[in-house]
Amino acid sequence: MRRSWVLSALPSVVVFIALLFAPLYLGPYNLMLSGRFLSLGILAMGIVLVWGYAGVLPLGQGVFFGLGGYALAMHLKLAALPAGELPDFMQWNGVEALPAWWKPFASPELALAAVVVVPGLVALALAWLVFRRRMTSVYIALITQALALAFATLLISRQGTTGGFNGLTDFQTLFGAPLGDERTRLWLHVATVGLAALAYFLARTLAATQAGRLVRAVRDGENRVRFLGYSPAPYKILVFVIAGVFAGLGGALHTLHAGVITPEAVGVVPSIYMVVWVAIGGRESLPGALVGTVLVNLAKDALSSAWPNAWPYLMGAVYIGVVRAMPRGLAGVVESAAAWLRRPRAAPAEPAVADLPADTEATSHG
Amino acid sequence: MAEPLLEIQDLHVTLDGFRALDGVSLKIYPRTARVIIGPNGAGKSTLLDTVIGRTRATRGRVVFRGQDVTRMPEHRIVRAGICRKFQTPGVLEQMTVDDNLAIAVRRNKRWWAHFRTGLDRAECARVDEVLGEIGMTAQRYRLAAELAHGEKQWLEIGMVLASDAELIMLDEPTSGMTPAETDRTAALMRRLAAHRTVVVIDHDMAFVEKLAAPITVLHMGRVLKHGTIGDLRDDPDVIAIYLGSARRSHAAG
Repeated sequence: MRRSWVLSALPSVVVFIALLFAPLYLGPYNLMLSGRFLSLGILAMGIVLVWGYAGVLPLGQGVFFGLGGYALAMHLKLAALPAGELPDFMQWNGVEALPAWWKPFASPELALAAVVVVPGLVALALAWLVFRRRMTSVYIALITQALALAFATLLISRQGTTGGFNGLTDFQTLFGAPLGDERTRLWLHVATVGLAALAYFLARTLAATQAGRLVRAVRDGENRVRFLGYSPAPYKILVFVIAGVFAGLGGALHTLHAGVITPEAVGVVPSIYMVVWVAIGGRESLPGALVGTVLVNLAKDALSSAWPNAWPYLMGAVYIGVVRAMPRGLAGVVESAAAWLRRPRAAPAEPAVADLPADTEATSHG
Repeated sequence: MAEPLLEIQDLHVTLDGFRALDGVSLKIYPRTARVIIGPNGAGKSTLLDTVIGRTRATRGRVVFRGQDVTRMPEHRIVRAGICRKFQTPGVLEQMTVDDNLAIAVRRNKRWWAHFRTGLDRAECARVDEVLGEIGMTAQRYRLAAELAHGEKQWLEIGMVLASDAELIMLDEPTSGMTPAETDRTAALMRRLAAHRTVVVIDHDMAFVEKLAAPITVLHMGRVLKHGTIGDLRDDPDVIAIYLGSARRSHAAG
C-alpha cells in the first residue's frame, strides 16, 4: 500500500520540479502568469477538499483569498513608506492617522503570520457555526456567498482605510528587496512553486489518512458515520479551515505576482469562478483542480482581452457543458480514458480488480 | 436478577403530532437476545431511533449501563456501547468493503485520532475476523455499491459487529435476503447472543422463529405482550393485530 502510494506521487513530483525550472523556459510575462495561476491553484485545491471530498459547496472562497491578499498588501503599502507617512490613498481621503488595525502589519513577521492565521480563524469561526448546527450544503453555499458580498461591499465602502474600489497597489519592496528586480521575481517564483507543492502534498496526505477517508465517508453517509460513533462536524471544520488557509496563502501570493488586490477579486463573482475552475478540472482531484485553474485562466488571459464581453458567456457555457457531460471534470475524463486503455490487456490476468474503475462509473448512480 | 443493560422507562415520542411511542417500558438484560415485532407503524423503528438518539423522547428515559443516555449526542451514545443497523442498508457505497469495516472498527473515535493511513494490529485482526463472520472475505476489496442487496445487509451487520458495541440493535436485518441467506443470518445472531446483547426487529416470522429468543410485541406505540413464539402464535390479540397479516405477507414474499 505504502509503496504504491509513493510511486503514484511520482508524476506530481516531476511536474513540480519542471515548474521549479520554469524561469529557464518561460519569459517574464509568462512567468508572472504561471505564478498567478499557481497561487490560484493553491486556493483551488482547498475547494477540492471542501467541495469534492467533504461535499460542501463553498461559494465564498474569495473572502479568505482577500483576507490573505489584503494582509500582505497592507504590509507592502506600509513598507514602501518613509517613517511617519501615511499610504497614498489615506492621504487622498483625508485620513489623519494610521488606524490601529493597520499598525501590526508594519511588521513583516506579523503580516506573514496574518496571511494564514486570519483566514484560518475566520474559516474556523464560520465552520464552527454552520457545521455544529448541522446546516446542509445549500445553506452553507448561500451563507458563504452572502459573506463574499458583505466582504467586498465593506472593502469598497471604507475607502479611507481599505483603498476602496481601487484596492491596494503600487508596491515597491518585499522584505527590503525591490519587487521589480529579477532576483526577487525568481525567489518569488520558487516560493510559489514550493508552497503549491507543499499544499498539494499536504492535501494528498490528508486524503490518504483515515481522517481523509472519514471526510469522504461523512459526505456519502453522514448518519452512518455518526451512528458508528464519530462526530461528523470536526472533519468538515478541519477541511474548511485548511481550505481557508490555502485560499489566504493563494491570495497573498497572487497579490505579489499581480501587484494589486482589489474588492473585485474577492467578491461574489470571483468566488463563483473559483468553483468553476475546480468543476472543470475535476472536483475530486487535486491535480485536476490545479490543471483546471491554470487552463481556464490561461484561456481567460488569451481570450478576454480580445472579447472581454464574451468571456462570462463562454465560461457559463463551458460550466454547463462540464456539469452535463463530465461531472468529474477533466480528471474524470482522464481516469475513464486510462481505465479504458488498461481494460483489454489487464482483463485476462486480474479479472475482478481490473474491472473496478469502469464499474464504479456505471453503478455510482444506482 | 442481574442489572438490566438497557432500561427503557415510560418512553413517549411524538412525531409531527403522531404518538409514535406512547409509554413503552422495557428491560434488556446482558447477553440476551430480544425480538421486537409489531405491524407497520407500531413504533418499532422509532423505539430504536430513540435509544440511539436519532429521535428525541418527549417523556421518559433511556438508561444504558446505569447511565441516562436520553439527551446525549448520538455519537456519544454509540461510544457508550450501543450500535445500530438501519432498515435500508446504510453502507458507505463509494468505499470498499474493507474501508467500510475499517471505519467501523476504530476503537478511538475522537476526531484527532485518525491522522495515520492504517489501522493498528488489533483492529486489522478484528476486520479479518468480522470478514470471516459475515463470509465476505472474497469481496473485501469490492466497492460497497457493487454488492447485492443481501450482501450490503451483511456488510452493515459486519460494521455493527466490528464496532464491538455491547448492545447491538438490528432493524430488519433480513429484508431482501434469500431464505438461505436468512438462515445464515439467524445462525449468526444466535452465535452473537452468546457474548453480546442483541435486539432485533423483524417481520419475517420464519426468521424470528429461528432466533429462538423472547419476543416483545408492540402495537400503536405500546407494549402489547411479551412471550415466546409458542405463546404468541396462539394469542388471539397478537393474531388479530399482527400474525395474520404477517403470515400472509410472508407467504406472498
